[in-house]
Amino acid sequence: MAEYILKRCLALIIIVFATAFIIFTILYFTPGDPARALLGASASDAEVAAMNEALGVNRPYLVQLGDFFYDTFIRFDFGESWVYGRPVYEELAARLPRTVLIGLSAMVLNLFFGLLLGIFAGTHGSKWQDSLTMAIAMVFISCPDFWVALMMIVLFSLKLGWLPPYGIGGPEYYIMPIICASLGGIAVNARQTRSSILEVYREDYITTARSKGQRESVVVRRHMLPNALMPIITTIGTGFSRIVAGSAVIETVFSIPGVGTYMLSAINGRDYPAVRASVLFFAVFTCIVMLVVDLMYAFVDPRIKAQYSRVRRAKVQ
Amino acid sequence: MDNTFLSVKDLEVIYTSGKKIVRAVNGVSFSLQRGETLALVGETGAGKTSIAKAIMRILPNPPGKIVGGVVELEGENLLEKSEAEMLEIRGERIAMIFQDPMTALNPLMTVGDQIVEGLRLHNDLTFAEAKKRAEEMLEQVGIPAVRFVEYPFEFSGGMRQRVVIAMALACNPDLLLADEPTTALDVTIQAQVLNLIKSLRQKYGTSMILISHDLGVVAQTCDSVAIVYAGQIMEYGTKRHVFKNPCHPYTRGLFNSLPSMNSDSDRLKPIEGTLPDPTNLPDGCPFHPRCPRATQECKIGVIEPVKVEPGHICRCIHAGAEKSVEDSKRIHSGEV
Repeated sequence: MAEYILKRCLALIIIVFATAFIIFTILYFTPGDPARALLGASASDAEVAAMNEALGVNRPYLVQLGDFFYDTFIRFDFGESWVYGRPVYEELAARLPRTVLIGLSAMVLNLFFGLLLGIFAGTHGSKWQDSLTMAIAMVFISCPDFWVALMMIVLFSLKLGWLPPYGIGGPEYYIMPIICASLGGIAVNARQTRSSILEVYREDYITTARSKGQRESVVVRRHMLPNALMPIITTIGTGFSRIVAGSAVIETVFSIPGVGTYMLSAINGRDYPAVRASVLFFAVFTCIVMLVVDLMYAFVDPRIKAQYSRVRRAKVQ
Repeated sequence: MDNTFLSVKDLEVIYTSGKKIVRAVNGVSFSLQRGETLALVGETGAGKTSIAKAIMRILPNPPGKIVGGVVELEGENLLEKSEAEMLEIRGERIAMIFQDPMTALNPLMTVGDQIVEGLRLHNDLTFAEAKKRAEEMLEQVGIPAVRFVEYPFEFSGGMRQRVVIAMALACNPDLLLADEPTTALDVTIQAQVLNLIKSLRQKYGTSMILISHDLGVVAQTCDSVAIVYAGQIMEYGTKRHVFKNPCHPYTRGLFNSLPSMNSDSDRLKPIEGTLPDPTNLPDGCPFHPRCPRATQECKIGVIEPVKVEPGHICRCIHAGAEKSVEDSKRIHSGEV
């Protein structure tokens, strides 16, 4: 087991390197002039050339790449923002907790309500409760996040005045963003949970559990759910990618200064150091969550756990 | 008849599939004495498992449903019990062994925990006490107690079936429903498992309903036999009655399709045709389309069971007449 985790951590490092390489290369070959974007259309050509010189973007590709890797992975220095002049690291450190808070909370909501609704629908297979739950899920899957976000602002902030419409402050500022970020994922998880529950519903071991005189609620909790969990865990992983991708949208609609909005404005302003750092952050964040998700498989299924330890045993021999 | 332990009368089970109604069990009646073993014999799809699941009321609902009849366990009608009362009965008084040991155990729970689960449901035991009892049960079915913490995937098929047996007998039930307990096992393991069930059953005085399509297994284990066809009992009697003197053409067909060590016939005689479509059972005797002796009368109305000798019932209009001839022959020759 420990060896498996170690292996996965090594893989994570490789993925981070690869992501860094790809994002650097893409930005390098992106047409357009960072200095021109920074200085604006009114700047003279001489000013632009001087700026490019100062930023070091005139140097050969490999030199720049080496510099970038050296700074990022050896000195842990993400450079300074070309637009604001502040160290990218500081900016990210301030914004990161907000994005992580929204992302992880949305994921917890996804899991909790997705399972709850899915089990409800699955155990009421093809009755009206099932159809209703799945119809609602379908609505949430089809609605774009930003539209739901705007509608929520209209309803809860403007009409009812319950929640602040945008910005950051106390916990109440995070309620709507978290709900918006999780709705689609809840719906996807609910559908996946429902179909897995329906799949194990007719399994023999469920009949065995019932034949022991076990209550139906315990049969669902102890026998059906763990067995239905495998495909659900997979969905959780992909659902997290959805949350990460959606964070830029959600943060923009609610004007939350998070990593998502930072990345967006950095891309618009051709603020390359900021773009690279935010993309790397998202890559690491996703990898860590995926690792946790993969470890959940082993936690749920003893067969997978045994596989991991068997690999180790075989190596020892 | 005071000693009757379980009595099933006119049991009817249907499955609904869309608008179609599958009549799986059509008026099945039998009774079981304490300590007796009854075999339900029939082809796949004849409704044997539905009968067993109906007795325990664990038919998957929907689509399965008990639409009529009485199931009396020591005089109490199980079909009128509340679900809460059934929870007390399942596992404690009636236990079931399933056909396929590969799928009958929860793959994510240790076998020990699965035995303990049933034990603690019906007995006021701490985990440690239940564990001790479960380990004893494992030892009794020939599995070392240290394997308590192992998962089903670490066991072979035969071993898993032993676990299922240990699980079923853990609470010392009065009635054991064994649904083709050896079908999924190879023949050497089959004998071991059957002997195991037999010895444990004798030890605890458990009655058993054995569901099987294997007449050899039935001959080894059972006291009485019910031949099931299309959800009806075609012939019902003691093992001696049914094996020595099969009256129903279907029962004879079953015996004819077995290879015999004694006769020289080199070809088996299979029963022509297949089970009738249970959504559209033929009128009259359900076996008449395949029956070599079917006459016009077989095709209409309801065929009532005929008593061919005390305790031996046959649902065939030809049984009585022909029987009397054979009977007289046998009586004359001094066989009976």
